[in-house]
Amino acid sequence: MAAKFLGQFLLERGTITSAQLLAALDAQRASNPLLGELATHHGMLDATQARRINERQRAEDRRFGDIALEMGWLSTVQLDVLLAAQKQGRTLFGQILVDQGVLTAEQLEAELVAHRRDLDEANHALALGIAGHTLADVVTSAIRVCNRLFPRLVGSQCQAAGIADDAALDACEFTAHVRIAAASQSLLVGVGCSRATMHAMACALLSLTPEQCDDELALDALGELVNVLMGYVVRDTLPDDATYRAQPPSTRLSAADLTAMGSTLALSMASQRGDFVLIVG
Amino acid sequence: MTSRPTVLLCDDSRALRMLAARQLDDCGFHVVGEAGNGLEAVSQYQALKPDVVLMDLVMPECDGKQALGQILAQDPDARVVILSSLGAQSDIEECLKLGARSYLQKPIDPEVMDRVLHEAVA
Repeated sequence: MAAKFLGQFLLERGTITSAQLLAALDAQRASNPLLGELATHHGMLDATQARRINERQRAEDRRFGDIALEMGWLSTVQLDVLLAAQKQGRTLFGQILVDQGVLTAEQLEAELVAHRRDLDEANHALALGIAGHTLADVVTSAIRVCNRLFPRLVGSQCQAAGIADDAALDACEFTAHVRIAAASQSLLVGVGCSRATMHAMACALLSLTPEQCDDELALDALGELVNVLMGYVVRDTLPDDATYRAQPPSTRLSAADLTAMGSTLALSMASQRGDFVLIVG
Repeated sequence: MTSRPTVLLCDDSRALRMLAARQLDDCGFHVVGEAGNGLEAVSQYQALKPDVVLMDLVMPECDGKQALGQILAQDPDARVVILSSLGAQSDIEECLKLGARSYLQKPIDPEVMDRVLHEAVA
């Protein structure tokens, strides 16, 4: 049992085809512009300003609009206009399937109920798997960090799907991890995924086309992504005055090797850039 | 037109260099060279004489601390800003004692980078 996005859930049930899924995802992306995209489209920010705010969001956990206000690049009135436009244009994935004639409104309603039930069962199983584990707090923090940062870093939603099994670990062709040693404890955060997912994440993080990104660069990018995730996990879980030392990202170990290193927990994660395994230790 | 201050960017991660180069450009700097290890950093410094060096601490061949020492031995006025990972406080302090002008922590906050590098070249 794994938590899935609605599109993946419908695809696996045979309710929609992969072509219908891709078409609906394209339509959803077009109907849900990021605030920076809207601001540049309306001429309120230039591309450099929007990028600079996005980059600042990688280092700070703050909303785009709050940073734009602080920089004095948007007024509160402009921000309100943009937020209203963003809300007005937003179309839910299920509604897009109805608009595109893939599902009727009644079919959608029934599928949403089934999806909700599936999600509840999966989340319950995940909570049971984590509860009582010595790493429960760190794992919960790492999941929250991924949920929060993935849209900013790689333009994709992300959610925990369940505890990773051996098949999920074996499917990881590449991994990157960062370890830090603090006085009282050490922490490990790693990501393992397929080559395709690694490239999709790298291209999104570095704003590259697939042709511009080789394996070495994509793996480097995976390391940088993990570095950023670790930074936020440290802030969430270690005391402010903790002294610690971080190792640079390492990409040499397999997912199975990483999970064999002492106390670790591996989670299957779903994202629109592809599924991956989050390893916390 | 005022010319943009030049930067030598040293980090063993191509992805980090790519992200940082874009941020440096946005901050008004011109990246004249990139180095993937400390040895390259030292030779590129000799060849390019940039206004400022942004130097990662942990690199293969010759690390950032050694490269900092060699660059300052060649040019005591060299302006080197250290780029460090999380929690490397003791290394940062050591580099500042060796003569680094300042430091930045990863992930790089563009506002901090803007301020620190402009102070370094002022």
